[in-house]
Amino acid sequence: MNRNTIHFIIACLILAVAIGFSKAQDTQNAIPLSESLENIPLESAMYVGSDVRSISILSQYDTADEQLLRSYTARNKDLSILLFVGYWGYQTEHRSIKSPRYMEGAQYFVGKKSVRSPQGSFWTMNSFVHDHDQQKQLIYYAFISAGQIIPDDYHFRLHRMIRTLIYRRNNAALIRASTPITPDVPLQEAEAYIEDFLGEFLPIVLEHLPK
Amino acid sequence: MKTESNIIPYLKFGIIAGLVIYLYYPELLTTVQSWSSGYQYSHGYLIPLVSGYLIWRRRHDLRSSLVEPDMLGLFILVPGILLLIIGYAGYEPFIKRYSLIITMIGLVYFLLGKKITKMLLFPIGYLILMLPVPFIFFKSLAANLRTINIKAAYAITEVLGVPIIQEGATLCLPNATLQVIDWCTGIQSLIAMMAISLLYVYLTRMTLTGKIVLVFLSIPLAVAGNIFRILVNIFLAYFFGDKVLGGIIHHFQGMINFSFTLLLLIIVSFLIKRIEVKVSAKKIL
Repeated sequence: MNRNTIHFIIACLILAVAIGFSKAQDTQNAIPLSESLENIPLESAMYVGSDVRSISILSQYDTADEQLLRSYTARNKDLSILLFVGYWGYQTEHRSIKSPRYMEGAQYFVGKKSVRSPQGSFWTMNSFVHDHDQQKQLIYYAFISAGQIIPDDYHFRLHRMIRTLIYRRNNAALIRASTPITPDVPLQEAEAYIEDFLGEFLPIVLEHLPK
Repeated sequence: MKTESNIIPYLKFGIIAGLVIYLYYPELLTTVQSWSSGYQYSHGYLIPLVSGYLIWRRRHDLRSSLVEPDMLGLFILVPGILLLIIGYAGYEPFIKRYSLIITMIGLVYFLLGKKITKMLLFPIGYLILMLPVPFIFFKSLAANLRTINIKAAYAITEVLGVPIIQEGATLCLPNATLQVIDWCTGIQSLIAMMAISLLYVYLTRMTLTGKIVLVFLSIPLAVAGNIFRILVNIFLAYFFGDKVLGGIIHHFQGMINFSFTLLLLIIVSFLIKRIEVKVSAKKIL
């Protein structure tokens, strides 16, 4: 058998093994929530909420095992915050968490922001201004996986891949909060408002998610 | 007349190609679907054709080259396959797609040898341009380009005395409002210019330094071209109203602008070649 044939056979074997692996079905067990997202309180000392239905947001995350979409307003203000929390018990290539930046329209002022709770804890979230159809909104979001709050999209993809490879589990959640930016409510005011809200609600959301 | 020994290499090629296509079929399918799903990857249809042409150009050299299978090819092939497996296990389609290019180069090196790999490295590597990048990368690039475009267009317009206000991605004139959306950031021109400049430097005779300079210069040229396009829109809207920007004018403007940027690239390449000739003449003296 000459060298060409030996190399040909080795190449075929390598490709055949790769095909075998790619076709092998590996199912994951979904990790259930500690507590249903529905139990996140509608009201608090500072905020009042109501369930809403937005086709555009809910359809973007229709692969989630559980979703929550609410509008919260501070008791002393007339400005709403749209809060979305989605939980995926397991993710695959076809049911994975998409970044909130995955939408049409201009995006700018993309950056990391700190959110501080009244108890003094602080977390980092990703924020950007979304400008579409002459409407601007400020959006804060972060991914939550294995008890960690991950603001960065690339970091989250890497984290998900490593957890899947090593632990065969990749349950995760997405928290997304948005508020409109108007001439009456400029960017700085909107940022302060949304950060105060998240400082109060982020710990509550974390309690509902598996560690 | 083809003898049995003449058919065997083609048979082996067919088997290997068939296995690779079967292995990567889901990724190839989603890649082709991405070409038709949005403007940003519509150039994807051309890339395999260009790659095929580049290989066909070297057909005489390839036919006359000695096939020298090399075990060192395993150091490229195995990582390519491992990346594919990692992509499957980690549910990461981006890694799976890009492993195709590494696997192909590894197979060529392993089965045909170093000399043939050198001839096919660029045509195969060029196929990277047909693969979609993660949407978040695309969005980040568009956001950065938008910032550069808007700031530059706003500054130039102000200097030229046209009253203008910038609010985020929107430029406000007294009689019109223009929004720089993702497709107006020049991202498509940038991708197309990179593809064309890479092909151009491969086909032309130039020093390595000259080629690297030209490829890198294609980026600011694409950005400058798009800034110019935004300025044209601003002045058209200011003098004639925003209705003049609709439909066919906007469409043709993009094509004219891109052709102009391409012409600039060719002019720059001639300048680089002239500089190289002068430098080499001085070295001889």
